[in-house]
Amino acid sequence: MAAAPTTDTVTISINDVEIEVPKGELIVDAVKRLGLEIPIFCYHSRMKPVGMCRMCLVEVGFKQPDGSVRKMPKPQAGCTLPASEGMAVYTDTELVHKDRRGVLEFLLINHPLDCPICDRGGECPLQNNTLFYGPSTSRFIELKRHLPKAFPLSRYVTLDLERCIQCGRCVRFTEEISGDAQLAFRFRGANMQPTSFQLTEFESKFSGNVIEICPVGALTSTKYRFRARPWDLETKPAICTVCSNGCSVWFDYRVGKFVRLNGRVNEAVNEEWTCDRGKFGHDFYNSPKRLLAPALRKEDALRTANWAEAYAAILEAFEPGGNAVAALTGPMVSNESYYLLQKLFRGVFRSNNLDHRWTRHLSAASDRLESKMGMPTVATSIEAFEHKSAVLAIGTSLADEEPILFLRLRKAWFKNGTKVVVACDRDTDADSFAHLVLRYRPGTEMALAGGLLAAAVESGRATVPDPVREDLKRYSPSAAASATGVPEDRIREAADILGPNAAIVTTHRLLDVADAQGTLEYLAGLAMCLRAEFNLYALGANDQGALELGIHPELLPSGVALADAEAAAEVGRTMGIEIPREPGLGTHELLRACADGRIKALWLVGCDPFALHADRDLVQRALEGVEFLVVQDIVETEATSYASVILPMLGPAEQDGTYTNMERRVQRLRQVIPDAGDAKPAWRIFAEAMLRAQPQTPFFSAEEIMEEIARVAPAFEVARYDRLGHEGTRL
Amino acid sequence: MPKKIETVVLHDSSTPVFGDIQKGGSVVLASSQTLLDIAINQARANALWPLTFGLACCAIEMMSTVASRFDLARFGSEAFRATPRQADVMIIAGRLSKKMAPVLRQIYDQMPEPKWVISMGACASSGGVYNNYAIVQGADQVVPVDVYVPGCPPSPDALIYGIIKLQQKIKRGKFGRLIELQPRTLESEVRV
Amino acid sequence: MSDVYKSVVKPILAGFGITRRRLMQRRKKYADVTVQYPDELREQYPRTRWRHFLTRYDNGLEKCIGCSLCAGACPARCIFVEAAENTDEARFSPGERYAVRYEINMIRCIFCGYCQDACPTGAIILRKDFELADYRREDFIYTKEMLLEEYPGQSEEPFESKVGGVYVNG
Repeated sequence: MAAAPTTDTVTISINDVEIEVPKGELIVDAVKRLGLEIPIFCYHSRMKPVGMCRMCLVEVGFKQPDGSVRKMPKPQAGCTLPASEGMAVYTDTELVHKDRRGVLEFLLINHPLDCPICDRGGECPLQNNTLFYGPSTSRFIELKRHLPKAFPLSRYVTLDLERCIQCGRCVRFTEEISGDAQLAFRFRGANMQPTSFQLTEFESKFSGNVIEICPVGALTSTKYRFRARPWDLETKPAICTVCSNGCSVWFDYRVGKFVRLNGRVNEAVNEEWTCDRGKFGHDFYNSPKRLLAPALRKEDALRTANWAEAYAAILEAFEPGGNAVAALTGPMVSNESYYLLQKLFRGVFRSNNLDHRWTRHLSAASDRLESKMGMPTVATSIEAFEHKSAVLAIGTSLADEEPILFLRLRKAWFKNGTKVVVACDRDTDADSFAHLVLRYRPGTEMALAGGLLAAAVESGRATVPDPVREDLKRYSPSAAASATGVPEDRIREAADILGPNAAIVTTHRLLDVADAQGTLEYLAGLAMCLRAEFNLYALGANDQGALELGIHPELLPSGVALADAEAAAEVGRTMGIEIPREPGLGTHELLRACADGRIKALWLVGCDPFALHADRDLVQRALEGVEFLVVQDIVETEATSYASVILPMLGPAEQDGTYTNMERRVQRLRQVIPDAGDAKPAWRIFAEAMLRAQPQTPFFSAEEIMEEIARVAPAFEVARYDRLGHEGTRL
Repeated sequence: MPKKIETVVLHDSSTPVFGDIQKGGSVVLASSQTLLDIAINQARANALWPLTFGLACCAIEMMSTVASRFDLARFGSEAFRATPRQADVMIIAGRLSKKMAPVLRQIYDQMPEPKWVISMGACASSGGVYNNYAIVQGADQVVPVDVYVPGCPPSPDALIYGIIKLQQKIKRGKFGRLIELQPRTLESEVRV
Repeated sequence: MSDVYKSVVKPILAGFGITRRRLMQRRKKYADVTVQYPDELREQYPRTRWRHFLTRYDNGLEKCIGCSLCAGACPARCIFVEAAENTDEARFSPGERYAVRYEINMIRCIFCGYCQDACPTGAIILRKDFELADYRREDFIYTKEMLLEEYPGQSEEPFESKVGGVYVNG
């Protein structure tokens, strides 16, 4: 991390080349402007410099009035030295080379040099720097330091103390970036060791990052241990699809098998970090339970079938159409697949029974904040949080639900002093840096939201219409305090902190609580009155995309409500289908209708209702009650045992597609891993089903579908593949 | 220093030759063979006329195999033919480019039955180091290959070993059709 | 007529004369021109590289540690290594890591010997066993079981030729 950025520039000379750099820029960064490089170990551009490894030594002098350069008597560490006027830096002198050789020889004295079996071998900064700058031989013939090898620091991280060069990157990461401060140095000098406290388990939600930033093989991944070498791997850019943050990542795979995942730089989303849930959460690609061929239920047993039989059976069962058929989707499906699914259902099966929501509260189209209050529910980009003056995170444990947003908020607090108010009914990781913690009793979210709004109104900073003012009397700050258990002055202070440059953050987790609608309306009202931004973030990888593309009983792609007959007909014309007029059923109603036998055929797309729905009993009755159940999924789930037809679906990284993350950023995920077995991309399954039902020109690629989406939902115009940039585009 | 190898004479006229599968140049018997099979196979195996199909560096070793030091004439294969009509075995010596593949196939088609193919060297057998857009990844994608000879390039003795393997293969089977006047092509196969 | 004798008959007879003389000489003078493979085996050059072997230490442990450096050095990418961790119950090599799968595609290999050069433990060596030709493509995937010598020093021993003869592996 450089010193505070200023607009002032200073002129320094690097190897006698004059260059203007921002004042205070570190020399290690400044030389990059000339295409030079200073070898580093401990320096990391996103963390404070410490100058521990001494690898970046350079000669520094200052121009004297007579034009000569007076060098400092000793070399200086480039990573801790800010640029100042008249500075002369030399990175290529005999002395610098001698220093680098000396430092490397010194570091290698205790390094075990077990590179052939080290997981870092081949992508190791120590190896590279030794190759480029180091001595070819060592003069050290004494016994090396010996310490226990392969100590399991946590479920994901293995520590090999012998290899450590004590750069402190991991320790600083846990202190500065993730904030859990789980790692620290103990002992001193050559015996210094980075460990967790008393060698207890390293509990962090971001522990995978220390594996990536470790410049040697001291911290290695337990899951990746000995599985491959870097040159065995094929590496391709991808998007993580475990949660809705949509982190940019590198997928490493070998002979068609997914091996590991590393963070990829995307300043707009994850900078370069990953969370453990994402980094270690892609095992399903290699799962032994992968569905690889279609199966059809014949004589009460599921038997492998071919695709043609499966399609024939499905089209026959879904033939009645209308209210007798339905589809439910999960979060890990691409935009293109969602679009085609709704086109298949609305166009071919003449049904609006589609839903992607699994929360307890399902807003009706007329109750949505967009239509009711004109309030967008996704306003702030992840990047914008850095410059917010205050953020209220309510009803969510960000480190668990939106981990990358959590890191951004922490960075905003750490670097820019953003005041974070955390309101949750349980302890969260964000409490550690929160300006204010509002710990309310479970189930009293609405009272707290009302209380905050009432406090803002009382302080005169917000004005609300009279009916609302009347309504708010229930939730005067004192009443809210007694209802929620949060001290009254804290509610007032929280309301005071929020202002025009503030953001309110909550997630779909809030839709699971009682009175979700009221809570949301109060929060949106609060944001509206204070001219702050309100964000209701999705949780699933592409939940936002499903909503935008009409996987909803009452909404069509581009958010047109079914009730708006004219607009709906227009959307239908663009899609080339006739939109059925009758609104469909939401998830809960739909499952009840399945249980009652009103719905004859149900299509589950990438979702296991047993895992997603709160009411197990209802799900079981529904899956037993429905006559014909299509389960289309990546891996075997509990629901597959009820299936009449199983359709194997490719995983996100095995097909082309785009994903919409919680901040409405559409990012492209190209096919990384080769197809698994006989499985197909979800969009191809829907396209083929459509083709078999009605003669038409099918879609041949995801790109073609996106072209049509851009016509139907103009917001997606920016997401056409030829326009979609490296970092993705926000809608 | 490696030891000087003493010449080992394996079998002279007193060595029994029937039924010994291990020895090169010997007769191989399989239970289903008739005497006619043995006679015809023996004639075929010991007069394999190769087709000159040198595609790259392996061809140099192939030529060397015919020259006096290795003397392929000892196996009756000295007569390299430049026309497919007179050849029995095609030795694909060298990397087979995708542009060459149809030519190779046509020439193979023009060879009269019975015919055999030896894929000589890594490139012809699998593409070798040339795992790229231009090279066929294994000549067996174009023609049926009887014997693969690894090596880059295979030394003459390795190629001779391949030819011995081919002879063993020929001797083991039944003779099939005695003579085929019309070379079998793709079209004629379709017509039949 | 004398022309015919001079220009036709005489050269032919002279030619046959050379043939006859050479036939007489063959045994004595030119006997060692042709290598009588497979009846005899010529001495291979000292640095000839053919079939690979995975060797063992004298105590029987495999030298290979599954580091994949051979696969990285291989220009034809014909080596596949999959490593696993040694445990005290199942120990294959000294140290933490061993190769659980080691496969060489002999048909793609160009016998350049880079794997031997790259190997940090000297586990893989290329010997002079050149008789590798075979009928089926699948047979050319040499697995770890085929490559690994059964007892220490086995790969150093002279081999018997598959078509007869013993030659020193050197």
